[in-house]
Amino acid sequence: MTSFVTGFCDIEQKTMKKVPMVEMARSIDMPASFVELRHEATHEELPSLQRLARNAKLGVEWLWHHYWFKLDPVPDLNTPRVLQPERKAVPMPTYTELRDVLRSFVTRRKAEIRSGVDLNEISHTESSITLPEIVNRCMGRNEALTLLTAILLEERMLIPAKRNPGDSMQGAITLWNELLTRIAIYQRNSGFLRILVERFMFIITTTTALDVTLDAFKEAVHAWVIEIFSSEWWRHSEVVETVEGLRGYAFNECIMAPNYWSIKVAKKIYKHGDNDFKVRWRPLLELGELQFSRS
Amino acid sequence: MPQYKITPWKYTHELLQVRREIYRLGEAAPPVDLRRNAVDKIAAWKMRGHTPHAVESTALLVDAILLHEGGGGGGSQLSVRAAYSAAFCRYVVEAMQDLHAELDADTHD
Repeated sequence: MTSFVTGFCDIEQKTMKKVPMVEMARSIDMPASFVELRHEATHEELPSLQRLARNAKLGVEWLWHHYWFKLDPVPDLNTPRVLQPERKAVPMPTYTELRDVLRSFVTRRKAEIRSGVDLNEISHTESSITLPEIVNRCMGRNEALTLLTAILLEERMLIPAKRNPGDSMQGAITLWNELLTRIAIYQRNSGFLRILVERFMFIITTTTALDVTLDAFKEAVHAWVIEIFSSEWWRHSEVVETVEGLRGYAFNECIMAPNYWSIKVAKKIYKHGDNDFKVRWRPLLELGELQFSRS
Repeated sequence: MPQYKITPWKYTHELLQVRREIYRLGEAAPPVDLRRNAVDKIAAWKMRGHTPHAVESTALLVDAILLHEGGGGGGSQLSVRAAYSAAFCRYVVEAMQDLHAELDADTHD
């Protein structure tokens, strides 16, 4: 039966534009391993029971995110319970694996930007923007997403390594915005964006011994927070609701630990909030500013 | 002109019910496993036609999982593997076909 189906597909493939299945899979966020497994099951020996069982469950999970969840996303925002125990079967991505994947992403992305690929075209065309399978493996796992976030920050990815205070962050932002939004969209249910923003807030609100105005790292993080809460890019992204949901949280964190950067961030977050937001948080902003000017 | 969409279910909540049963959603997750029930319902819908590929693929995969969990296939590992393989291949191919259809629709717009 499977060879019948494949045969049919091959005919169709010849009549239409020929696109490799792996490419097609990539464009629908399907792990390349699915295509491999299908190929094996169709043309070679039947794969082992263990692999089949694992991938069938991942398939059910993929269908959740690409079909079932979209039917009516309101009532059951949490990832279904039935998907939770299955994750044990998929190995948790390691620090090195994630770091290497992200590094190779940066290299490709830089080459793309250098060769002048139109940024708006990228998502429709090719390559680096497709989520690496490993990022999919972080789905719904808090520890894995925390790890991913830590690598993005600590391995000097979101924040360039040799950055001096006052240097523009535009380069890094251009480099990463697309991937960050894609992860945020794909991991909408598992709170990647929340974890990222929490981490940003932690950095901004922690007091350091350094003269805060010279703290280039904090300055860079502050630029990222402002980007997420006020740029056109994020406002027009599919996760705009998630961003809005986090606005109050981020603002509150800043005000509760007023320092040079947190007050700057708070003002920006406030400025780009809607009217309800402004009415609600105005008194707190005044209080925070006052507290900071006294300290 | 309104766009009519033919579905094998009468009300959307039937589809959502199937979703709840398969993914065991929500606080009121049924204490009994209703996945078999959901898979059978989808099989019935399939007879009526117009069942979305994603729904059908889910049913096939879950059916294979149930066969495996229940120690099915008369204890033959081979038949469980065959069921998994068939379900999986169909799922992958149909997801690709949906993509093709989408691309086609885009170019014809």
